[in-house]
Amino acid sequence: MEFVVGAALAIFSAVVLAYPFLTARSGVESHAPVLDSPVPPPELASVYQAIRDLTWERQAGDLPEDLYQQQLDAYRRQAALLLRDAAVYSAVVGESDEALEQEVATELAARGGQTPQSSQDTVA
Amino acid sequence: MAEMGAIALWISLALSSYALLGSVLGQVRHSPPLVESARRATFLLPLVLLVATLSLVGAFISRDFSVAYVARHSSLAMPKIYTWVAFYAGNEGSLLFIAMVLAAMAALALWLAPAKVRDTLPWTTAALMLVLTFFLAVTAVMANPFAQLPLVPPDGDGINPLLTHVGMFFHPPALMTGLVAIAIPTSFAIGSMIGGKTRDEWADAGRVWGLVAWVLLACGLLLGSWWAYTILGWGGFWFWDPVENAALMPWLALTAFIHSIMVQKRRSMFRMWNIVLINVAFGLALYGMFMNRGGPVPSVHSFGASTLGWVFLLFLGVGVVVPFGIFFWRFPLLKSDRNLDSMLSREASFLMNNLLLLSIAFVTLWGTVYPLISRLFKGQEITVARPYYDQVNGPLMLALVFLMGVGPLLPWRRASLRGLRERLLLPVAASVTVLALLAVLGVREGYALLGFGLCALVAASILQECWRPTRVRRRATGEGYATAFLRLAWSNRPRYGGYLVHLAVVMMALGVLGGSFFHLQRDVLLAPGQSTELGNYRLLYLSTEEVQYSDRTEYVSTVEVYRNDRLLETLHPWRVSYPAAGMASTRAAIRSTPVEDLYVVPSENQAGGTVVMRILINPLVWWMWVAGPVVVMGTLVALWPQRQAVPSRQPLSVPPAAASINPARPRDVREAG
Repeated sequence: MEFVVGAALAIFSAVVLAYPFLTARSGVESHAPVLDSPVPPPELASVYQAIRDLTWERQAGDLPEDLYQQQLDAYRRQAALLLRDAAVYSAVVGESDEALEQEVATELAARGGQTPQSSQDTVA
Repeated sequence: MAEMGAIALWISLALSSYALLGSVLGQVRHSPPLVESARRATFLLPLVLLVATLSLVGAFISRDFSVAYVARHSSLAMPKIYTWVAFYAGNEGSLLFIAMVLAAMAALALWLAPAKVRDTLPWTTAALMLVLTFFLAVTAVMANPFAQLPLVPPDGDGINPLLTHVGMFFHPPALMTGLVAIAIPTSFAIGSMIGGKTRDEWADAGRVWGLVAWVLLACGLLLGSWWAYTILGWGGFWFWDPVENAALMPWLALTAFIHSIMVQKRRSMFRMWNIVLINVAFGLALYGMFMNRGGPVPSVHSFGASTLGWVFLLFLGVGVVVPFGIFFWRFPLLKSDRNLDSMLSREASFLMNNLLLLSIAFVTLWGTVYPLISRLFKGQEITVARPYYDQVNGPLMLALVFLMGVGPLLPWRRASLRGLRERLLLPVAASVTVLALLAVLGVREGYALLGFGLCALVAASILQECWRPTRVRRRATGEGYATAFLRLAWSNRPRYGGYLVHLAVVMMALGVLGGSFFHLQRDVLLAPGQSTELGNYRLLYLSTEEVQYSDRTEYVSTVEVYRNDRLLETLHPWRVSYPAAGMASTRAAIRSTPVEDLYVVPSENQAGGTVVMRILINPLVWWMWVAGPVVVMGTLVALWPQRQAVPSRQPLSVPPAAASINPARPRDVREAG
């Protein structure tokens, strides 16, 4: 009985391991991580988080005003760039968002810190 | 049962080897199905190892003495409740336990891994599976818990009497899990480096799993101290035993890491340093396992005579050389974006905290390996005892407590002297007040005064850091104090969880200071009806009852405790003799209050009911044990996941106050989209 359970466990494991090869061969979409695929920017969440922390720290007196502004500007630029990259990503996968591109470009130009590049430049 | 367990063990070894090779080959050959297949193997492993674990537990429950491991670690007389403890009481079972928890945590870590490390996950998987394969190979080949005896004995040897304590249900599993959990942040770091993601991609996963390992080790160490305090009968809780130290050192390195990784998350600094820290923590964890399993220094904690020492020594070598080799390979890519702006900043205080923690770890390491070095080079073993650790580590720990009080008051980047002076005013005033009070009360111990003063500094600075932002928020929002504080803490859980843990450290420091500098002790021979005094207490020894069991004899004493001729409590300390094992264990009776512990333990039972009693008064030790749940709570708060912010499509040209990235309205940001 114990050997039967052991054998069943082994067979079950083999089937689970073989499944991705079988689905790949039969054309069924696999859940395998796509290697080197473009990924929307998850860093955006941490930039938002950083901005929130920064503000609370300033309100608590942890940061002087000039440093607060300096860091906040840096974070905003970072967020704008990430959003632009996200738009580039959308363009790559076929979901273009020219309006957003325009907004990011306008924002960057208004801040004067960066010269906006077109999404095509970045892709290239 | 045993056969099924053995089969499951071999299947799991095959699966982990496959996951290791599949991840590497799949990544190198750009074969997504192979990578996915290897990933599935990691998810199968906990299931298969659970079958192996349940098989061994089943063998213990049914007292299947044909299994050598069961025969060595249980007996018919062993209470069934200790079956779980017996499961990991020896090398074989504990290795299986380690493999199972590592497999489960690895599967969870890979499943929950953030998107930014997705590309490098196959390398992370390979690193994790290398560690798991090592444990499984050692278990299957050299320490198989399912090995059978040629002749089935009628009864087993029984469990080690020292393990029959409620603390043993949690202390060894917590420590083993904590030590092996360090492999997870290390693997994320290694995976990211090999995969060329050398910026801050791994920092989130590294922090979370670093904290998990840290809190497990903290709980394990505290529970171990509590176990030693109540069962070993010498009245203390930390002996600087080599194996105790072996668990403390990685915890110290991890403490440094979980602080330092915050700087990387916040400011993209300390990239190289964090890799070094996690590699050091991993190396020290492997060293701890080596010491515990066939290591050359005997200890009450180690698994006794074992032939596994050289294997663990070899793996320790691999575990140090490979991660550091990868680190040096990627060294040019690991440079941080920024440098320290000022030595008077929060980043600098984190760095100082790191250096102090590592100093304590290496002082402890030196004390632990010194007996081996002296034996190797001088031909005689020179043991390093408590005075060495107290004299060297004591001042370092006080400096660390000081930094714990000052560090949170420093802003990021740089502090102005004026601002710092303002913020230090209240904590320093609290510290001086406590010092003055203690001096008036007659405390003259320099170290103790300094220690209590620093504890007051830390506690006051934490309270101040809670009060000031709460007041700001209350003014801004009109919320009540409690609501404002709770919302504030909830919006920055890592910070306020950290403060809770700092408060717990203050509580532990109180226990250490009280127990180390102000304890009273008396060893006294008492006949029934005799009494003795210690401090304000009078203890009247009434009798000892002798209870015979098949495997042991218990001597339960009855002692009445009086203060000012008023009966406070009746205590029942006991001592157990195990003739077959040639061992005795004790169980102290402790009257514990926040002010002090009255600790009574019988050291020796003589004819006619006469007993040698050890009586201690340990001030403030109660706070040490209460600190445990506070550490866990603080870590849970710090670990509690934030809801992911969703990129908003609102126009960026809208002023920030109205846009979704409005930092003054964090709730809007979290719930955007």
